[in-house]
Formats: sequence, C-alpha cells, structure tokens
Amino acid sequence: MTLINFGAALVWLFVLVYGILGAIDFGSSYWRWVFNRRGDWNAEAVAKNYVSPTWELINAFLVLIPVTLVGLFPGAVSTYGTVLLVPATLLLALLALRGAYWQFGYASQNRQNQTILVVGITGLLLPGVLSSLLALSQGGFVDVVKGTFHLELTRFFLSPVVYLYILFGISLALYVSAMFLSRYAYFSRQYAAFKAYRRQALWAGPVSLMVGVAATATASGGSLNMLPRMMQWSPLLAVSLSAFAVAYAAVFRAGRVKKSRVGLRLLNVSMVSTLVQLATAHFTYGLAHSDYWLYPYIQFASAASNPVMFRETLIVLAAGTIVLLPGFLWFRHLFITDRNYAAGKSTNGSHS
Amino acid sequence: MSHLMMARALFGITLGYHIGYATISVGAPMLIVIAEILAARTGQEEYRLFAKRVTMVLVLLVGVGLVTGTTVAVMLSVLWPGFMKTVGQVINLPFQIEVFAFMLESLFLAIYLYGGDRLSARARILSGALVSLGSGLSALLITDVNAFMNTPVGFQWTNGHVTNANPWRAMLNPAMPTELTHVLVSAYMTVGFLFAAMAAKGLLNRDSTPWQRAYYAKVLRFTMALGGVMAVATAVVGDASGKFLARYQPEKLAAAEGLFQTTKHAPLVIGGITDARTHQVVGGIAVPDLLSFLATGNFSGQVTGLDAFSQSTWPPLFVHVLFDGMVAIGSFAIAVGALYAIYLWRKKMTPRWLLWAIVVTGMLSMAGIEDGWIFAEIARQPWMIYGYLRVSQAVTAANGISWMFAGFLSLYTVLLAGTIWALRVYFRKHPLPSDGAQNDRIQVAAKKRGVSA
Ligand code: HDD
Ligand code: HEM
Ligand code: HEM
Repeated sequence: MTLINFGAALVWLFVLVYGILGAIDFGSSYWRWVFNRRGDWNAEAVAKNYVSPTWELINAFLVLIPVTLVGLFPGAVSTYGTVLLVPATLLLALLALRGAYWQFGYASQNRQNQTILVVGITGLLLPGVLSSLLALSQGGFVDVVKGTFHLELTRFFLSPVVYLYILFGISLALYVSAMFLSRYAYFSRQYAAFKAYRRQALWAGPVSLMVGVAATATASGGSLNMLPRMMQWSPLLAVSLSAFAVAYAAVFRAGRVKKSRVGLRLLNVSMVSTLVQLATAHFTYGLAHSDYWLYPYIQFASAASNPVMFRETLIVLAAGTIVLLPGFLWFRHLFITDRNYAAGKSTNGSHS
Repeated sequence: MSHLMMARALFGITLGYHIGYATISVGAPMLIVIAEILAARTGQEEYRLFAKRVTMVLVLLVGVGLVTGTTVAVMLSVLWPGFMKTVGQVINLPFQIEVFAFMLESLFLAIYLYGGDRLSARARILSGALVSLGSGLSALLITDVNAFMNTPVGFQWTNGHVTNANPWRAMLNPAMPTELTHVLVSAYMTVGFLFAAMAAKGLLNRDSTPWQRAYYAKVLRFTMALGGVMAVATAVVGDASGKFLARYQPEKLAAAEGLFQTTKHAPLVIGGITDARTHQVVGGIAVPDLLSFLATGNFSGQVTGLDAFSQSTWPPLFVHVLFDGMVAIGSFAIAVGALYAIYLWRKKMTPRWLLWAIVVTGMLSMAGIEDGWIFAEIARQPWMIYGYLRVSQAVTAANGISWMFAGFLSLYTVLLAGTIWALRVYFRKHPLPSDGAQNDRIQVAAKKRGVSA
C-alpha cells in the first residue's frame, strides 16, 4: 500500500468511527424523543444518560474529518468546498439548531419537551443529510462549467439514488443506536427499556440492510456502478452479511433467555458482530469507490498534499491519539462501563 | 454589495460571533480552576459555589461556541477554496493539532460536569485544568493560522503553487510569539472583567443580603485580580505587537497610526480620523516622537509610512479608529484595575462609581476583543496571505452567498437571543442563596433531585 492509499484509508476509517458514534448519538436522541412521547421513561432515561456526556466529543470527531482531509488531500477539499456550498449550509443549520437547543435545554425544565423534540428530529434528519454526500461522491451530479465545479441541484434533489442514501443513513442510524442502547439498557439492568430497544432493532436491521442494497444497486447517469464494483470484494461482503446475521440472531435470542449473564453475553456478541458488519461493509464500499474522492474528477493521487505535509499530518494524528488515549479510557470508565451511571442511579449523573 | 464583499461580510460576522463565545470558553475554565483551588485551600463554600455558577455559564455557551466554530471551519472551505488549497499544503498542522485540543477540552468538560460526586476535589481540579489547557491551546493554535497569514514563511511560491513546504517552520512564523500571547492574555483579561462586572452588579444591587455582599466582594477581588494583571500583560504584549508590525507589516502599522510619510521622530496621533485626500489625521492629538519610540524603542527611530507602498495595497484607512479604540479600552481597563487596587489596599469600601466603572469595563473588554480582531483582519487587506494571495483570488466561484448571509445572520441572531434567554432563565431559577446556611440546604436539595451545578 502506498502512503497515499494509507492516508485515504485513514480518512475512511475516521468516517467509520464518526459514522458509528454519530449514528448512536443521532439515533439515541431520536429514540429519546419517541420514548418521551410514549411516556416510556425508563427507555428515555437510558437514551438520555448516554447522549448527555458524549455529543460534544462526537462533534470533535466530525471536525477531525475535514481537517484531516485538508492536511492530506487539499485538492478534494477545495472541490467539495465549491460544490457543497448549499448542502453544507443545510447541514450546518441543522447542526447549529441541534447544538443550541441541546445547550439551552439546560437552562429550563419547562422547555424540556421542545428541546427533546428539536434534538430528536434533527437527530433523525442529520444522518440522512450526511449520507446523501455518498450519493454525491459517486458522481453524476457535478458538472464543470467554465473551469469550475458546479452541483446540479435540481438533478440532485430529483434523483432517487439520493433519497435511497438518505433513507439508508436514517435506518442505519436507528438500527445501530437501538442495538447499542438495548445492550446499554440490559447492562444497567433496565430490562423493560431493553425490550423496547430490542423491538426497534429487530425491524430497523432488515430495513437498513435492504435499503443499503437498493442504494448501492441503483446507478444514475454518469456515476460509479457501486454494486458490481463491491461484488469484486465478495469475501468481505460475505463476512459482513454473516456478521449481520449473527448480531441479529443474538439480539433476538437475548430477548428469549432469562435475564442473566447469558443474555449479556449474547448482547456482547451482537455488539461485536455489528461492529464487524459495519467495518467490513464500510471498507468494501470504500474499496469499490477508490481511487475517487469525487467521480470522475478527483482522484487520490491528484488531490494529495505535498509529501512533507502528508507525512507530518500522519505523525500529528498518531501523536494526538496516543496523548489522548488515557483521557478516553477514563471517560469510558465513567460513562460507558459504569453500571450505576448507565442506570441513572449515580447521585449526580444526570444533568438536564 | 459585490460577491467578494458578501463573502467577506459573511465570514466576518461568523467569526465575530464565534470569537465572542470562544473568548469566554477560553477564560471561564481558568476561573473555574482558580475557584476550585481556592475552595480546596480555604474550605470556603463561596468559591465552590462560584465555580458551579461559572460552569453553568460555560455549559450554556460551549454549545454555541461549538456550532459557530464548526460553521467557521466549514465556511473556510466553502467561501475560500483558494485559501484552503494553499493552507492545506503548508499550514494545516495547527488545525490538525487543534482538533485534539478540542477533544481534550470536551472530554474533560464532560468528565468535570457529569462525573459529579464520583470525582474527588483533586480530580475536579485536574479535569478543570485540562479543560482550561484544551481551550487555551485551541485558541492559540487557531490564532497561529492567522499569524501565518500575517507573516507567511516555510514555503516557496512558484506560479501560484506551493513548493518546498516546511509545515513546522510555517507554524513557528515570526508573528506567532506576540500574536498568540496577546490573544491569550486579552481573553483572560476579558473574562476576568466580565465576571467582575457581574459581581459589581450584585454589589450595586441594594437588595443584596449581607451574605450575598460578602460573596460578591470575594468574587470581585479575585476576578479583578485576574483581569487587572492580564490587562497590564495585554498592553505590554500589545506594545510588542506594535514593534513586530513595524518590522514585518509596516503597512498595517502605518495605516493603524495614520502615518503617510516615512519619518524619523514620528509622532503618535491619538484619536482623529484619517483623511485619504489630504493624507492627514484630522482632529487627533499628536504626541511628538512617541510613535518612533513605540515602534522602534528609540525616539528618533525611523517609521515606514504608507508612501513606501503602492496605493493599490493600502489597507482601508479607517482602521486607525479601530486601533485607537483598542488601545483606549486597554488603558481604561488598567486605570480601573489600578483604582480598585488602591481602594482595596487602603482597606476602603469600593465606591459605587467605581463599581459602575467595573461594569462598563466588563462590556468594553468584550468590545475590545471584537475591535482588535476586526482591526487585525481589515488592516491586512487586500491580502489574505500577506504578500502572496489576495482575498479576491481566494474567494469561491459559487453563487448564492447573499441568501446564505441572510440565513446565517438570522441564525446567529436567534442563537444570541437564545443564549441571553437561557442565561437569564437559569439564573432566575437558581438565584444566589441569601445566606450561607441556605446555600447548604439548596445543595442538599439539589443533590436529592440529582441535579448538579
Ligand atoms: C480586550 C482586548 C484587547 C485590548 C485591551 C488590546 N488588544 Fe490589541 N488585540 C486584541 C485584543 C486587545 C486581539 C483581539 O487579541 C487582537 C486581534 C488580532 C490579534 O492578534 O489580537 C489584537 C491585535 C493587536 C495588534 C495587531 C497585531 C496583528 O495584526 O498582527 C496590535 C499592534 C495590538 N493589538 C496592540 C495593542 C495595544 C498597544 C494595546 C494597548 C493597550 C492593545 N492592543 C489592547
Ligand atoms: C476569532 C477572531 C477573528 C475575527 C473576529 C475575525 C474577523 C474577521 C473579519 C471581520 C473579516 C472580514 C475582514 C474584511 O472584511 O476585511 C475576516 C476575514 C478573514 N479572516 Fe479573520 N477573524 C478572526 C480570526 C481569523 C483566523 C484565526 C483566521 C484563519 C484561520 C481568519 C481568517 C480569515 C480569512 C481567511 C478572512 C477572509 C479574507 C479577509 O477578508 O482577510 N480569521 N476575519
Ligand atoms: C478561522 C478561524 C476559526 C475556526 C476555523 C474555528 C473552528 C472551530 C471549531 C470547528 C470549533 C468546534 C470544535 C468542536 O466541535 O469540538 C471551535 C471551537 C472553539 N474555538 Fe474556534 N475557530 C476559529 C477561530 C477561533 C479563535 C480565533 C479562537 C480564540 C481566540 C477560537 C477558540 C475556540 C475555542 C476555545 C473553542 C472551543 C469551543 C468552546 O468551548 O466554545 N476559535 N472553533
């Protein structure tokens, strides 16, 4: 693997990490809204305790992606920068609304419901908007007019592929977050909440799978033919599919066994398999998409930075990760693996 | 307005909002750490209470700082693709490191906030200090990109392309030492005076109970100490910035001072308006030789005037007003801090007029931050990267900026209104206890409900 391909794979890895963290974050805030409306306070509390401390950190991961792209592939950024004026603005407005409501919700309990509503709805929309970028990157929506790139907005918004990707993003976020929260609930012995999330995961999983296949199978004029290209990596796809089957079966089974260690073990299996499923599918898509950042204009090599900058950026990334590692572990210890915190029983845990 | 002006205006207001929130995010963690340390040292509950109240302000603002910051980051790419192409080749390392500083900040802010009772006093101080380190570093690193734009080094420019890039040299550019220090100390100064202003308001309120007065007086003392010391540091470093400009960006200094002819024994003109036709500053007070001294350290030193440059690269001349405004605010703040110190030293009550002056200083400091940035940015015109890339060359070719401008202006207005609303509601619902015993009761009750801060 050349250094340039390694850099591209690293960016793609960050996209995966953000994708998973973001899916859990966005999905959880949506579930919080749903369960708040249904009056299922247990399930809502589980979602809330997970979402509260994490969203800022997850936003930092979002920022990491464009910044790394600028360091490694500035050519891709300047093109996307020109093309994305409108979609990026939409995205920002949603993010801003979400962040602001989330924060202002701390001030007043009276407006709690409004906060939960705005954060929940934006949590549903954002994964969709973000995934539509995949459709864009596959080509067919960008023209070159007088030497500058130009996004054909009407073609973009009228294209079925775009909507399939939007649906895919949304359903995947719902599935991943429901899977994660069902384990988080079980782990903190909130069995009723576990049941609620398990039920959601059971429908969202197959839906996201089907929409995903449909999205990659639909080719629009001038775009990459994703499904055939992905088929070239069929062993990876097979791993992904079987991991999905294992994860799904394990969650299904966990609802049938008596509340016990066996259940938790099943859910651990399902969480790991889900991660395997997502990672393999994500990299299959990435391999099928390479060497293009934007088909057919921007390729890895032509967009890459000079070798010095490229190398230094990679060094900074490695050093930063190592320095922050202890902090992440402490964070995990306090919020993810602390049963009492997850259950909302910690004296001082819940903030809003 | 032209396409270019629209883009500049949009970027300018975005940064203007962001910097307001960001400044508080830089300074507030420092106050929290000092208060936590004082609480641990003295065992006085007031300091802990103050730390909690500052934390709440921080929590309400951080979210907006975050979204406006993310907006700035995206806008840098979408409004100035030409800039990012260059920046990406040379000076992206500060941005890259900064992401980790953000992570440090948000990681430990979450730990400090939600860790609650599971943290010992020492763990609280540690996580607060790491929040402070993280936000301070992010401010410094981002400002370093701006320093690079002022004094670009570490690359060669051949036919509009970057060659021989040396990212570390670009990062350690000549503007870095003064600019970064000035930004950091001015942020601490501003936050010190802002919270001092709130305490002064509390003391001015005739309904305050004795316990509340004691609390406000204590808070006032240590916020004024921070603000005052940092105000002096701001001026000292500001003076160094002036000397730096004389050497590296003489056009900027000449425009700031309204100096048209290159002269020895240059006078410092305070106030007044620069007239572009007569090449004079109208209505200012001229202090002989002072500019030479400030710029070179020597009363007879030679200062480069605007005549040394082609008129096509002159910055707009009204920046003189902006510069004087900043210096005036700095001088005023130092004077207020000194007066307060004198009253304190004589063990006298702070008089009401001085409390009012402190309230004003708090607001002026924030104005100083905005003013300083607008000055630094506009006085770099027409350059985006000094001497290499003009703003007009970097601007995006895409259309639709004017409706973006309208949309974002409304968004920011809503955010600002929301911030103010949230702060008011929060503090109305969580008033300062009227006596110390009640303070304890409130805390116990709050714990029962599982609410912190
Ligand atoms: C409370 C805010 C505040 C106050 C009271 C001052 N400054 Fe300042 N100044 C800033 C806040 C600031 C800033 C916002 O931090 C700037 C904008 C860009 C930068 O690098 O720092 C700045 C820039 C800036 C520059 C331009 C540097 C550049 O463009 O590279 C100079 C020469 C000074 N300052 C000088 C001074 C002097 C002589 C002051 C006398 C007291 C002073 N400042 C007070
Ligand atoms: C946070 C403090 C800052 C504020 C308040 C600020 C403010 C402004 C303003 C008002 C403008 C418009 C200037 C004009 O119309 O002439 C501007 C332009 C600009 N600033 Fe800054 N700025 C800040 C920091 C930065 C930093 C840290 C960077 C770089 C990373 C930066 C990059 C730019 C660019 C690229 C432009 C557009 C080109 C130009 O007009 O010079 N700014 N900024
Ligand atoms: C071109 C200029 C700038 C860009 C692109 C930028 C970008 C950002 C971004 C993306 C964030 C959010 C980070 C996250 O999501 O974790 C942020 C937050 C922040 N920025 Fe900026 N910023 C700029 C200017 C500045 C300046 C000049 C300062 C300080 C002097 C500053 C200080 C901060 C701080 C302290 C935060 C932390 C968030 C908070 O606590 O409110 N930024 N900025």
